[in-house]
Formats: sequence, structure tokens, C-alpha cells
Amino acid sequence: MVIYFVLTTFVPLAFLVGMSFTEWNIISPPRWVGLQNLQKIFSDFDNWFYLKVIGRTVLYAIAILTLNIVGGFFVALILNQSLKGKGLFRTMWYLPSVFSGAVIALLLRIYLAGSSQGVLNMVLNRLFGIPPVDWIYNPTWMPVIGVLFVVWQGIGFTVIFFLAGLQGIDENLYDAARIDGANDVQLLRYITIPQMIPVLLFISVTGMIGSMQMWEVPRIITAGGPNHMTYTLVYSIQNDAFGNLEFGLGTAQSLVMFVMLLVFIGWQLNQYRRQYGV
Amino acid sequence: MKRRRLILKILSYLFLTITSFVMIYPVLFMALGAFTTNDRFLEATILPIPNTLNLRLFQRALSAGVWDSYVFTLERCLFYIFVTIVVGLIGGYIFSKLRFPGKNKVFLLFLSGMVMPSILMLVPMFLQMAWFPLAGGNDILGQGGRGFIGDWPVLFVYGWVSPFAIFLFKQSFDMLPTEYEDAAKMDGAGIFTIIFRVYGPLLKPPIVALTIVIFLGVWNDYLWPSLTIAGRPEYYPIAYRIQSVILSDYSPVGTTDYPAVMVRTFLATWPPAAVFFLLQRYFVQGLVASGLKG
Repeated sequence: MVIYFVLTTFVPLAFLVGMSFTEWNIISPPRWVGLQNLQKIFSDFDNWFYLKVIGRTVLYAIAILTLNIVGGFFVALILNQSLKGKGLFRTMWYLPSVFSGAVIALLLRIYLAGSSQGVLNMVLNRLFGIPPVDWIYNPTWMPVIGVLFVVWQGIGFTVIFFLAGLQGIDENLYDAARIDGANDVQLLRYITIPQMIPVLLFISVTGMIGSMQMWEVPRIITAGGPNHMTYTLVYSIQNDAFGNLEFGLGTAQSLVMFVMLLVFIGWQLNQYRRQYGV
Repeated sequence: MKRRRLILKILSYLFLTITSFVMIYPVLFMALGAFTTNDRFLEATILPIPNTLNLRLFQRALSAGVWDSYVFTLERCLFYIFVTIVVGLIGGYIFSKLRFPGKNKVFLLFLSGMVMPSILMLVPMFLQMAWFPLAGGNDILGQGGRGFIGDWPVLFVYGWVSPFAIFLFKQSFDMLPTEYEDAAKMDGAGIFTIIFRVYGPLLKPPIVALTIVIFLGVWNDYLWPSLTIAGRPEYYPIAYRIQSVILSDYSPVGTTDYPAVMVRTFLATWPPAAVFFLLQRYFVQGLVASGLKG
């Protein structure tokens, strides 16, 4: 078991690190180029192309994570009251997460078609009289749609975890505070949120790993366009490796992303440890 | 005070109804659209209203390879459910009940696999498959041929040992007292009997939870197959197959046969939804149990 795990997890990781320092198109043997790939990524090559890709990916990831956590927490708070049909609402919130992102992205691509017969255009026109928009080629809307797509697919997970965390909080804490005259806002601020820190830590770490991985929208809908607005890091890795057969450059970007995630996770853990002693 | 509570409750219901509808809207639109004629579909204001069960569309989709993909994807799901759970149970037992030097370090090694996004491993895994010794015309050093790329083993080689499964089962074993196995040991039971016969039946919730997670993961798998199995339609998993099948009837500028497209999407998406609806109680339990104690 350990051997299998090392072979299928750590050997590829070693491959990944090794290949980052080569130039290689799979046909001719790999050539050692040292730090050249990393230099390319962190330089003004092609008008800072790769740095822009990284910046864009991080920006979207922050937007996704924020919407996910704030929205998920709010919905979980509402679902945590004694309401009839709570289970049904929870199911509906989680439902988008069970589908294949690729298949749903394909569906989205069909919905977003630019003609007046495109589904979204059709509905918006009937409801609000909005003239047809060519969504997929719209550099303002497409990134927004991409971010919302990832949030849509992931927020159910967040809601379920927050809900479980909320239900784990000892009722006595609230009762005691109420006797002392605390109002709802104070209860939220001084009991609920501090009690939720472990769940919050878990969500922000797993959520960050997920949020950095937007690939369905560029791969299936936009091919990274319009104007590279949805050209994310994961798409760039795939495109360079399998599209342009630049395996060295692709893996170098993977390495950069991996290190970024590790730094982020380390920073988060440290932050929480310092502030809350988790 | 009482009135404020009531208003809060009404607002909550209102909020939940609207947002839940928005959440399922794109999928609901598709599911209803699968049962309309094209004219009816194009009349939709908020949702298309079903008016037909066009079996020809279902038949056409299934015969265009979707049925083959169903069978193949299901085989793949069953394979992964079986292997991951068996390995997970053994691993969970080892890390929970056995004592040996370096146990915690080995456990940490497995856990570190959880933070490694598999999406970054695609390129090196692809190469590992392409260089697999003695496969697909490769020599013993893994050179010369194409290895497992474009062949079915590529879809079955990875992911037998799931850190998540081991972690989940370890947590579950921790909660079961050791007295169970002491009694079985007296009767001369071996380690596998203890794991699968004695503890197995007590671990139904995590086993079901994991079954759902694996089923969803494998059924929805797109990225890895799209990179490694392209050009071999007999091994296309459903999520990958549906792409070419759907796009054959779709045109971004001209007229699209919407019901045909929706039927195909429906065929690819109903099984995960059904599995989730049927088993969601276990799913939430298992998922939460695994995450919160971590």
C-alpha cells in the first residue's frame, strides 16, 4: 500500500519537479535548461503573459473564496433555524455539486449562445426585454460568469460544513449569554464566529485549493478568451503541455502553483494558530 | 419580539425559496427541456413546460455510444468503489488499531496526499503512463512505444489508495471498541475476517458515504480521460462522451435542436442526481464526520 502510494503520488511529484527544469516536446529527448522555464514565467516574456495568468487566477480565486465563505455562512445561518422543509432547501443548495463540471460547462456554453435563440438571451429578453448579448465573447461578463460557475458548483459543500459546525455549538453557551442580556448580533460576534473557527480554517484551505483550479470554463466554453480574460493557470498548464507540447513549461507552472498553494496553506495555519490557538 | 421572529422566519423562507430555485435553475431548465418539442422549448419564458416524451431522441442518443459509455463508466465506478473501500478499510484498521514504530509518520505521509491537487499531477501522470515498461510497445525501460496512453488500463491504474478513505475509516475505527476483535481473535479469526466480517457491518455509514463520493467522482471524471484516452471511443467515460455527442447537434449561430441536446445532457446527469437523492442522509453524515474531526 505504501509502495503503491509512493509510486502513484510522490514519483509523479518528483517527475514534476524534475521536468520543470527541462525543455521537452515528448518527441525528442528532454533537454536540461535549468531555471529557464521559471524565468520565462516570471519575466516580461510576451508582455508579462504568465504573470498576468497567475495574477488573474489569484484574483478569481479570492473572489470565489470570498463569495463561497460569506455566502455559504449566511445560508448556513438561515438554514440553522427551525424551519419546515429545511432538508429540501439544503439538498437544492448542494445539488449543483454532484454534477460533472465539464458536462455543466457544456450546458452553459449552449445556454450562453449569442444569437437571439440562445437560451439565456431568450429568457432575459422575454422577462426584461434585454437585447441579445454575445456572452462568450464579452470580456466583462465572461470572467464574472466563470467565477459564479465555480461558486455555484462549490458552495453547497461549504453550506453543509458550516451547517454541521453550527449544529455542533453547545446551546448552553447561547442560553448563558442571553441571560446576561446579549442581543443576536453579539451572540453571532462573540459565540458563533469564534466557535466556527476550525470549520472556517478547513473551508478556507480546501476552498483555496479548489478555487485556484478553474478549468471548465476556459477548456470547454471560451478557450481562454475573450482577450485571455478566462485564461487561468490550470488552463495554461494544460494548454502549454498538451496543446503546445511544451511539457517543461507546463510543469514549471504546475510547480509555481503548488508552491503558491503550500505558502497560502502555511500562512493560513499560522494566522489561525497565532490568533486563536487552534 | 414575537413579531420580529415571525418576520424573520418569513424572510428566511422567502430567501431560501428564491435562492434554492436559482441554484437548481440551470439544471431544472435542462431536465424539463428534455421533454419538450423544439417549438415548445423556444416558447419558454422562465422554464420550458414539458409536452412530450420523445423516445426517439433518447434512443438516438443511447445508440450513438451513450449506452456503451454507461456500461463502461459503471464498470469503472464499481471497480473504484470496491478497491478504494477495501484498501481504505485495511488502511484505516492499520492506522487505528495496530501499533508499530513510525505509525504516525506513515499516516502523515498519506495525509499529505490530500493537499496535493491531482489536477497538477496530470502531466507527470501522463508521462508515467506513457513510459510504463513493457506496455503498448515499450521496452523494459519504458521507451519506444506509447505505453498505456490510449488504452484502457490508463483509466484504472491510479487512485486505489485514497488518503480520504483511509482517514475516514481510521476515524470510524477509532470510535469502535477493541473488545469486538478480542472476542473474534479468541475464536481464531484472522485479520481480514476481523476487518471485513467483524468491523465491516458496523461501518455501514462511512462505507455508504464513500461509495457516493467515489461514484460521483468517477462518473463525472472528464479531465484525465480527455487527455489519455482520446481516439478510443469504446473507452470513453460518459462525461467525455457526452461532449462530442452534444456538440453534434449544437450550432452557436444557426438553429439548435434543443430537446436533443437536453436529452443527452439529461442522460449524463440523472444518475449522480439520483444516487445523491437516494443516499444523501449517509452522504452528509459521512462527509461531516470526516471533516470536522480533522
